[in-house]
Amino acid sequence: MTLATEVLAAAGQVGTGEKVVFFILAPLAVVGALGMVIARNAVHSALWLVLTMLSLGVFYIVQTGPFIGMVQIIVYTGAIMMLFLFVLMLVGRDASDSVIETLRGQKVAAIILGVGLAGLLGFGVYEATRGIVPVGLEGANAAGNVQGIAKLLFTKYVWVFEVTSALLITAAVGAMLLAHRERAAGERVGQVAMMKDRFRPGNYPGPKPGPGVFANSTSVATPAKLPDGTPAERSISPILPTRELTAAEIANKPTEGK
Amino acid sequence: MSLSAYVPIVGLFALAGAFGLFSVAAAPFIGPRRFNKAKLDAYECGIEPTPQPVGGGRFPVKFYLTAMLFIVFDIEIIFLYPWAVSFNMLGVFGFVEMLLFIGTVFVAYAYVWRRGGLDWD
Repeated sequence: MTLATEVLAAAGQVGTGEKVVFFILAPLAVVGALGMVIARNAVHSALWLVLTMLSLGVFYIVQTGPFIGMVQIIVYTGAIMMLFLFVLMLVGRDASDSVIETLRGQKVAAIILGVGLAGLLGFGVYEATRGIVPVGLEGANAAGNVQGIAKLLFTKYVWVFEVTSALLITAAVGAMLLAHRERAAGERVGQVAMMKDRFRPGNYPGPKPGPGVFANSTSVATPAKLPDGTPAERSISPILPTRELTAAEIANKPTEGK
Repeated sequence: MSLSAYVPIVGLFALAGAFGLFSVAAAPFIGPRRFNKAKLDAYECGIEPTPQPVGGGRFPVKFYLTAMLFIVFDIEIIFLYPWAVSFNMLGVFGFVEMLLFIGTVFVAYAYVWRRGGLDWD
């Protein structure tokens, strides 16, 4: 007897393990959902959503739907979350919503309507499913949930499965079309060309000096010295007056015997 | 009973969490402490690093292609999972089906690759 059938034999009653998992993860899922709505930072919002989605995935697994649970974790917390975050980074993670209410009473109306909609939907689902006894699940899950799905997917729905690959091609081609800039063969600038471009005019090829390098003074207004001895203008802020020892002061002092 | 198959996974999570907590908690006690002058120096911070990221750290849109390719192969994994679990049951027919599927998905990859979508520039 497999795992699934054992559970289904006891359908209707909730096991202790399931209860424990539910009462730990359900509050976490709700906290995640609330955090997603409340968080000001969009990236934090997305991370809260990860918590909710992971909890939902575990719920599915606990309710003997390991396939949908794994799909939830792999696709939603993996791919979809990645897309969310990608769009956030594309738009700029500093872009946060405005907290100023421009329409008076909008917040209150939104809360009332939102709660009303949730109540309506919940009641609708409750009414539609009240007293209905699900049948056929034992048969479908007889050899295990994942095996049952595999059997259907690779026999009855094999055509749909194969056509899905065409859908994936469409996704890749669409992404190419949207995001890829076609370059002609001669347009591509290689590393060698970029390097020549940069150094042909005679730029100093080393790293740019930091303030105070080779300095005779600890003042931030003292420019760094390039290896050839000239002051590096880039090393200090342009608004600071340059304070420097004169050439005579910094010249090597003669020592004995010289 | 029903969830006993997942007990090892829960145990693994608990072990991972315990390891993290233990590492953080134990570090102040067993870690070496060697102070020197530089460590006790005041660290000056607060100045924005001079080359600011272009556009405030926004991603270039070319990464969308990478993201989409990741999703394509993610979906492929979703199909590989039930296939791998019931590989013995499906036999040669299932194997050929999956080869066809992977072959077709590879067309998308080859398309992106040959058109230069994977080049870094």
